[in-house]
Amino acid sequence: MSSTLEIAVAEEKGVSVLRLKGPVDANTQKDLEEKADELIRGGAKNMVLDLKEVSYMGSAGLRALHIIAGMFGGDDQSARFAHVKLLNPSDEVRRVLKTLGFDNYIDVFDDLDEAIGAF
Amino acid sequence: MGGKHTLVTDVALDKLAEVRRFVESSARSLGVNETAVSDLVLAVDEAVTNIIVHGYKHQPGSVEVSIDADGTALIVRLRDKAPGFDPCSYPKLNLRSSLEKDTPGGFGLHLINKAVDDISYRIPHAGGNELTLVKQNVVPSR
Repeated sequence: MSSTLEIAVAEEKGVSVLRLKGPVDANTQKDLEEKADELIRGGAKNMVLDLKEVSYMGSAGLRALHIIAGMFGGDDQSARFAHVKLLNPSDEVRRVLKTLGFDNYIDVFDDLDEAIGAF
Repeated sequence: MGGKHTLVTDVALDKLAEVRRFVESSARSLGVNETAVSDLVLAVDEAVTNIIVHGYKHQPGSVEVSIDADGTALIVRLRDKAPGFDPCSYPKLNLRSSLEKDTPGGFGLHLINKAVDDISYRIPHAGGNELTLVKQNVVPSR
């Protein structure tokens, strides 16, 4: 279980796909936020976060999602979260999303094409 | 199976992965099922993060994490020497209104409360803080 987070970025059909590997905790939260900020400043309009290889995600990871959604702007939280989709979270991450009510705001997919098609 | 497990580590955010590994291996060695192991890892990660960020305020220090069984309950005790920090004194989180804020807070404590059955705080005679987390009915009867 590594303590660092690796983030690989690809552009697919105009969407930024971030493939995360490692934990998203209070130690790595900023790494994710900074990468998202860099992409949004570079013109990214929509983002898929592939969580397949995320070993752990707690409240710090969800705060990062909230902050990234806020970077996109929008009249309300639903409009902001519309720019971010999640792919392949583990059952543990899904439970955390549900416990903190994020499942009401952010869409979760098991298929990349479906996630991209949902924007 | 059995026996108390103890880890003492410096308080630094890059030590969180080590703490999570310790909780995972200790709980598994006591026979705890995987769903409950995940809950315990989550609760301890959030509690130690709070100790680092709100207790020590990122200043140097240490935290002791001890894990033991009490019957079928699993008991986690976190002891540190930070200035007094009682997470139990914080009001319950209103999730929807918090999520509508630009800078939401209180997520960590909410997760701890959902992941374990009981959370209690006391100031030991020697000073510092002691936080106890209890998860019931997760250790197989011997």
